Amino acid sequence: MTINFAIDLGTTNSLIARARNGNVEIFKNPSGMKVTLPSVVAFRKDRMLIGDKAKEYIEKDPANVFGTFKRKMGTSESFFVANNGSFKTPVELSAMILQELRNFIFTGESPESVIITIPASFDTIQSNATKEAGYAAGFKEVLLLQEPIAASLAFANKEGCEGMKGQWLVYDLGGGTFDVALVKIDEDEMKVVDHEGDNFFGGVDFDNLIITQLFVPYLEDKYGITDLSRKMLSANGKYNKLYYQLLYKAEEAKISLSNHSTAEVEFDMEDESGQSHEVYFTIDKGQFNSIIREKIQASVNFIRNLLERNNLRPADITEIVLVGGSTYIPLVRTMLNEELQIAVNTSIDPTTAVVEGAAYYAGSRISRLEQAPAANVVKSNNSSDAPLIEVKTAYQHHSREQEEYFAASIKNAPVGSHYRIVRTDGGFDSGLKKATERISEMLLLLPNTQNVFQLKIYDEKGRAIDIAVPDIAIVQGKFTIYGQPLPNDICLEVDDVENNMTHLEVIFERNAILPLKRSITKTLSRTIAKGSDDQLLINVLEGSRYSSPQSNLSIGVVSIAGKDLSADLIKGCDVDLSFEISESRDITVKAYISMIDAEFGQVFNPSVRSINMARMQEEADYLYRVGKRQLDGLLAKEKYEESAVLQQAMDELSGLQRKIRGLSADDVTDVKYQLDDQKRKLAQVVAEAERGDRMLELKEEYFEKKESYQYMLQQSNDIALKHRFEAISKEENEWINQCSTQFLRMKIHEMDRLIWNVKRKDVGYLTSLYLHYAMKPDNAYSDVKQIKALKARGDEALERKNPDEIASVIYRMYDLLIDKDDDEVIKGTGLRG
Amino acid sequence: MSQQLWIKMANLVFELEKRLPAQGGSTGVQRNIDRMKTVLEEAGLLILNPMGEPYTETRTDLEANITGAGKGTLQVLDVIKPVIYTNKDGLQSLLQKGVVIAGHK
Repeated sequence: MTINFAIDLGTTNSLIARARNGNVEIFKNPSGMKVTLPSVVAFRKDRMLIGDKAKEYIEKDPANVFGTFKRKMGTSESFFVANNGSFKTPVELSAMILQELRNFIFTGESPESVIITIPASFDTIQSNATKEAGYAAGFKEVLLLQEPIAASLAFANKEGCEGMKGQWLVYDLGGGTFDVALVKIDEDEMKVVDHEGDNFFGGVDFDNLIITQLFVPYLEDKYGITDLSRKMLSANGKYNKLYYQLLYKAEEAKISLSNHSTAEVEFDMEDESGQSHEVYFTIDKGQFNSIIREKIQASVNFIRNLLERNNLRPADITEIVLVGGSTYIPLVRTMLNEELQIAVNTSIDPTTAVVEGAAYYAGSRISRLEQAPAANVVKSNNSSDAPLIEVKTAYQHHSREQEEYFAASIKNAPVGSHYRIVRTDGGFDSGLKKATERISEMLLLLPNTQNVFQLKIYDEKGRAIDIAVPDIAIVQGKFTIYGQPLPNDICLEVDDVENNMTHLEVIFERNAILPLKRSITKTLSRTIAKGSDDQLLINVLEGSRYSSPQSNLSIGVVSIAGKDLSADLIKGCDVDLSFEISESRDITVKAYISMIDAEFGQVFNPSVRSINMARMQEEADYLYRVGKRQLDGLLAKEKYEESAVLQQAMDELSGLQRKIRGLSADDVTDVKYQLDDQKRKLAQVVAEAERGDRMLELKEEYFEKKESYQYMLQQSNDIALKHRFEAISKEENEWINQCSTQFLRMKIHEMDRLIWNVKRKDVGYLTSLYLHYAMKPDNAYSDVKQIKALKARGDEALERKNPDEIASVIYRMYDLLIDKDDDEVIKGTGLRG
Repeated sequence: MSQQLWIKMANLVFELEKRLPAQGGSTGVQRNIDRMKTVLEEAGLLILNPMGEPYTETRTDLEANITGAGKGTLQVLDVIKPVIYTNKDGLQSLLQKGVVIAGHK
């Protein structure tokens, strides 16, 4: 069995990786998903923090937060922790970093053997101290590997037998430290011959140079600020906040300049008089290079010293391999190449090269430990004498607060054990806290969702103890998650312009939990003239999204009438709609039309139904026309039995039309509600007849189109389109047996659009389609002059065989085509679907 | 569009919104920003602005630079990048830590 696991225990950052079948996987921190863990440990009041959170306090709380302790490995120096009065050795702190890295392993494995990398400069005592840290972290077998060798292995592995010949340099420029090592293969063994380094040089120096050399002089000059550097660096200085802002911006600019010739920096700041300014600052590569050149030159001088000491000339070196994030900077690469005339190898990600190489090595090293079954955790009843650990939790399952109090009792936890609570989405981590008999924690909650936390207990070596603590689930903001789901879909009626009908678009799905809020943007499907009787309707309905709008219950209508408008609303302009349903089911509908900068809105109470008489009349007329066509069809086929029900409905519809016309728009009686109920029942009869009459035919049309689309996809090999097709097929099962004809027509149209997306790239198809429209007489179009011009343009486009150009002409022609088949048109809502 | 591009877009929208009050504000522009945020939500991103919220060391959704003495109750004083979560198959996960400056008001 090979060791497989490797750790780059760095001065500033650490990483962990695993070799698997010749490949390396670098594990990410479950909180934040970064591969690097800052090598920093904080002993805050009642908890221990390791990594990013600890690093935040390194300058503010130096008495309790420790970093760069790797430099003290193998010394008798220890760190006094003011918060608890204890001393921590570099070995203990390193062990904590190693334990934290073990938590990155998401595969459930718990390695007992590991390779840990060490600097080339480490002597025997320092090396042994590193091993000791490994054992303290719970590993049973620890092998060490020098960092330059590990990095070289990563490069060698990348390049196969071609790479790493003769002697080469490993140039490692990280965030805060610099090392260069001379490596060669001697009697088939890779060896570090010599090394040089500077513990106080790294990428953070470049960030500071951007601030002090570029930002500060500019800001001092432009806004008349004096002594800005001091004011920024003083903890209580006026510009201390600006310093941290600029530090972040400087790092961003530095990264950007590795790939671009300029970097734009934007930030806000206040001048001495308190006036705020937006600062736009451009840094070009030349400026950046000039301020960092001196630092990089110093690193080149380190290399010259190293070569001189070993009686080597640059020509004796085959290549320089680059390690550490700061080697992304192009000037580092070019200066090394120009100054030393040595080839620079950048084929490996410099941030992960060391751990990657170490993992390759781990994948080839056989473990000397006897094989034990892989276990990611320590059993709670490992020893027959040890009593079982019992954990009892208490907390509110629902909360309206931003954080919620959690308490638990822990019985029989082993001495020295800790507990930790993390939120599974990565947004909260309690850090390690002592597992006492009673524990409590304020759990931070993400709004309007279910927050799931996990409580784990770790033994004194940082290994998780196998105990079954159920997930801690707290729902924030929604008291009624299990009690108040929506009984039906809430839909918006929108126009299906191509099919001259309306259909439903779901806003809130059935079973969604109240309260709900959603904003959508629609475009106008027709022009609504100022002062006209026309109206834009925002019709919110309750019922199945698959049924027809006429058979669903209208629960709120906002009508924007032509006479209320300050200007014409032009077809195609945007309407922002927002819908809100409260826990008591009040529905708030708001519409904002940017074109005229006007907002319309209304709150609908579920106990007070809202009826728009004009709309009800249009719907009744439409139902009558559709029903009449069906009835005529049935009678023509002499289906008298089937036609009887429809005939009765038609008689009722005719009566309904008369009653609606006879009712005033502001009628205060219940009649309009009765009429609305009657209309919905009749709509169901008409829809049922329509289903019997047309459904089979429409389904056949749908499946035929689907089949031809599937065939086209097989030819095209477009993965995204194939995925979309699979999603459509999956969704189909939900509606195919219960939808209205309107819904099915919409789906047919959707299929048409998909087919068109594929076909519009086919010049042959476009040519025949264009000819179809071009052959129609000019008077089939609404604008003869325009259609003539389009035909001339289309003929030229055909010669050029440009699909986009032909398609654009076809679109325009289609728009101008006069549709004469509008017998059954219902006047739409004005909102395009 | 890749998730990285969506995150980039979310950061730009956030900056735009942050800058709006300084420009005197505009309901029209704010509406457009709200629409952009809706599009981002439809793309599965939940964007949170922690401005003014209490800052504690347990907040792993924030990357804080602490200004001042850094003792006692801290608050988020400035937000350089917002917190971004993604929701996939009903499971929320942190996509981008918020970059903030924390300190005493």
